[in-house]
Amino acid sequence: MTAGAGADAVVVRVDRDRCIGSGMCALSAPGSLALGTDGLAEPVAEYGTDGAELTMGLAEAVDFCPVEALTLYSARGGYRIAPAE
Amino acid sequence: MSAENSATGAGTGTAPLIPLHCLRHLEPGPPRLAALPTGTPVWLVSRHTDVRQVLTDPRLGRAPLYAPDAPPTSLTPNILDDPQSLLNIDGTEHQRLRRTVQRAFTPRAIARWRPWVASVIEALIDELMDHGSPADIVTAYTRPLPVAVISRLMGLDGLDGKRLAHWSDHALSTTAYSAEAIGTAMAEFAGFGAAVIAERRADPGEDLVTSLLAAAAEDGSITEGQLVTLVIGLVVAGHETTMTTLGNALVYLLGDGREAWQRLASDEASAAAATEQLLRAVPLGDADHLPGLLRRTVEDVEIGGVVIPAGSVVAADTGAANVDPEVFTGDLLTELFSPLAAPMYTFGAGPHHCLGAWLARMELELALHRLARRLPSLRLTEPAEEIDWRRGLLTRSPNSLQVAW
Ligand code: HEM
Ligand code: HEM
Ligand code: SF4
Repeated sequence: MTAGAGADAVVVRVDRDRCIGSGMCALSAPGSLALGTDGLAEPVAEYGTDGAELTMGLAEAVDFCPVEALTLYSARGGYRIAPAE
Repeated sequence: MSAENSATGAGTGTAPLIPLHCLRHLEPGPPRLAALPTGTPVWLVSRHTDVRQVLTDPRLGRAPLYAPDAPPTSLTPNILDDPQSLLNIDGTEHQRLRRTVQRAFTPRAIARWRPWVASVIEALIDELMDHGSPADIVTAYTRPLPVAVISRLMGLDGLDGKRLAHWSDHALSTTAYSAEAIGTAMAEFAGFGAAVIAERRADPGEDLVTSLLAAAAEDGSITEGQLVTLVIGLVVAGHETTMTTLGNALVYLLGDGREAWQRLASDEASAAAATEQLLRAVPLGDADHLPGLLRRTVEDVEIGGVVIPAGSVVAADTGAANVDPEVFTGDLLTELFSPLAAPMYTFGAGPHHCLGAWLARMELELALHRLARRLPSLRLTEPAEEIDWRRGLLTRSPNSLQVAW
């Protein structure tokens, strides 16, 4: 789980048409996601660009988003990690 | 969720009432001061963007409505006023309780139940057709459906529909019952919830109650009282709201919206689109019972250009926001199968966004699609002005609806 921002780095995408601004993700993974000024979630820093480590909190946030607006991708490989398709 | 209590208006009496899709909404505008039936001042928020802010801004919460210094928002407390329930706690405490049930209610988790929900619906239509035309579609279809679905999800197979309806009506009562009757019914209902929990602890199953108990045990901080409230809350939420939406949707679709019936039958995607539009445009109840989703400010907050002081009660009028001409143009009939122009707030938004939203959507979409497919000639046999309404509850829907085919 704590592989560092190397080969296992992840990026997280927010489907802004789906997000209902529950804030659950920002509470579970404050280092990875935050609510923007429009009340919708946004990835924080590297999680939106080059990728960073996959924390327990982030994995949980993706699992628990009430509307499945979050998707995790491998930063290097570009493939989807979660949720499963 | 308590401002809805009112001793006046559509709650009582027998005067004809207009169907809910015909209700006129507040003209959207800046937040304005009004009063709840308790006399407590309330800021009414009606614009689409302002409603979104009220529901998502952490400077407004549900818990402050139940703080010791909070002004009264409810004349007769009902189940929604339980301060320890999911709806009435905020922040991490809320997140924790919500997580225990969230996993079972994501779109994907709900999709697994689709074939089963479809089979319940087909069975109800079989029975309706066996009964023959004419029939009361509320008794035969809109009322039993949500109960059957949530009972199955929660493994309550022996649950008596009449008992459930009795508890549920009392749970959401505004004026229909005395405070004492509500208290007795709620105590019985809580006893039922506690018994279900004990039973499932002794004999775990595949159902929602079992998975809820497992998640709660893992978390360790959820009280027994919260669990009971959660279990009975889910029973009621699955019952009342979906029945109301389906009943009022049929009033519209078999009346003013009749020309859409054939297309609803054609495919599930059309029924899904129509479900979104119906949820948006047909409110669940009358505004005097439901000025909006209530919140209270914890500090001064500027909303729509108005500074609302700390400690104020705010009502987010989702019905008005859902038809705000800034974002929604065109009438329901022409838009019925089009995607929404903007998010609708019938299920709320923010941390308390309806847990059951995806289940409710799936039930409604399948219920409309299958009914239109099996009974293409379904029609109302009484004029809308003569509909017998369930009154005095938070919601308003037909008590019975006579149809023929
Ligand atoms: C058409 C049907 C339904 C409608 C219109 C509806 C509406 C709502 C609304 C507006 C809220 C938010 C209240 C607020 O923010 O103040 C809510 C919350 C909730 N709903 Fe629903 N609901 C429906 C069906 C269901 C179903 C089927 C379930 C459960 C199986 C359910 C369970 C809940 C729960 C548990 C909450 C509280 C969530 C929280 O506070 O975190 N609802 N619902
Ligand atoms: C007219 C429509 C609505 C009815 C009848 C209704 C009913 C319910 C009920 C009975 C529950 C479950 C109760 C519970 O779990 O404590 C529920 C979930 C909830 N919804 Fe809705 N809902 C409606 C729309 C709304 C609105 C407009 C609000 C709020 C203002 C709201 C608030 C709630 C609350 C309080 C919960 C409870 C969450 C919980 O503690 O588990 N709902 N909906
Ligand atoms: S948990 Fe999902 S819905 Fe909630 S803010 Fe995050 S992305 Fe949006």
